[in-house]
Amino acid sequence: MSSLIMLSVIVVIVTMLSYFAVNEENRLKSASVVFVSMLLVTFGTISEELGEITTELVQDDGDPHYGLPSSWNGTQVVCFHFPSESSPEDFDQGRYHIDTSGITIFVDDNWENGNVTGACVGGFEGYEEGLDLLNAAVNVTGDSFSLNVTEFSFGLQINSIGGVSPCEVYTCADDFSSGAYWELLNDGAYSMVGISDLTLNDDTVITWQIASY
Amino acid sequence: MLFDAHAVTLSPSEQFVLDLAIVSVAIASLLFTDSKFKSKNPGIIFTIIVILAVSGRLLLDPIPNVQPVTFLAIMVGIYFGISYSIVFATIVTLSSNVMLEHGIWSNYQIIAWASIGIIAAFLRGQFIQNNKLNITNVAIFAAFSGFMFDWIVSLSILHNVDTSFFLIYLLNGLPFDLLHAGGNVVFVAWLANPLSELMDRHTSLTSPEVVSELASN
Repeated sequence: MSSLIMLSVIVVIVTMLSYFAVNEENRLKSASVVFVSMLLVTFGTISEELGEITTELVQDDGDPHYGLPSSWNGTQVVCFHFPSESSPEDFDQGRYHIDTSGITIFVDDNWENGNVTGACVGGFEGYEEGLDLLNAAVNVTGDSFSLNVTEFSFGLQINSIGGVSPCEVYTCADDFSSGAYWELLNDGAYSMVGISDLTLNDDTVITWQIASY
Repeated sequence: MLFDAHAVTLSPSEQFVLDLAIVSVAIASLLFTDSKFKSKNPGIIFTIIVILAVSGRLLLDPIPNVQPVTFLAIMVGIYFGISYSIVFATIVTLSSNVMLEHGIWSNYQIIAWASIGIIAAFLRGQFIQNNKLNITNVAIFAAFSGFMFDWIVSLSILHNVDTSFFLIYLLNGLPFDLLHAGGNVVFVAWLANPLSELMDRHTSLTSPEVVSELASN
């Protein structure tokens, strides 16, 4: 908050100086150019500060809920992360935050410096198994994050989420020497079990993202 | 020997400087050569203004929310009137969104730019005083128009999000609104006077003096 006020004051003062530093005929030209230039230079910081004030996000980067609305603290969340150029059409402007009724409550257009887009669906309570929570999150968003899965004896393999297959994003070699897959994170850490075997806590954050090898 | 020009890549800042230079040269060429242009057909200068708006919006796309369309919508409203403003907003929005991105927000952009032009047409008497453009009044309206445009276009998110989120969305967009408003004032400060002389030359039929003159004949 204090840096927002300080930046605003600096922008105003420099603009005023540029206004009075030139002759009367050129004051508007000078002040307007300086104002826009100053605003462009400080734009990222001002936007970030304002976003933090208006939406109250979790600020502790050691918390699995980091970057999520603080109103979701103590609830379960499912995030679908896509490289920004490969997002489903309606989720390409940032990371959308959708509550359990399917309403978008906040869009973070600077998540991971804008390189990651997608959505987090949160506010769930009482789910004990990962697959149930995942299905609930998919249902809330309609067809936006529909799953294509293959069922194996050892569990489910996610082929695509929202129509996005990992091998459309990364090059996958025919001999499997290189490839990509949907990676499951449990509270920010690589999950040692698949989604169908994952046991949840009250505030678990499940994240799906594309990883390559 | 052939060279592959498509293989030459520029950084975003290099591309922006180049784009800005192209827009500047285009505007300067228009203003400097226009004095030799004798046509009184407003359609010709209107077409040039539309092209300037579309190309300016596309070329200045790297700068968030700074583009000449809102300023030109105001000028079209003042000098060409309501019907031209609606045509201007529609053509510029649809043409530039073919390149940028077309969607439901296009309708809101058309409504917003047309509204700005229409209001400018209604306030013409405040903007043109003693046959001269009142730059201060136009600059104030241009700054206001930046906010007005953004807020009208922001209504498009209500198709996807709850109304309770709308105020937060508007607050988060304040830096964008300020850039739009500031950018509009820059265009007014640097281009309004030369452009008003140019438009005045080609739109004499819209001048109240000429209209009353024609009526008395």
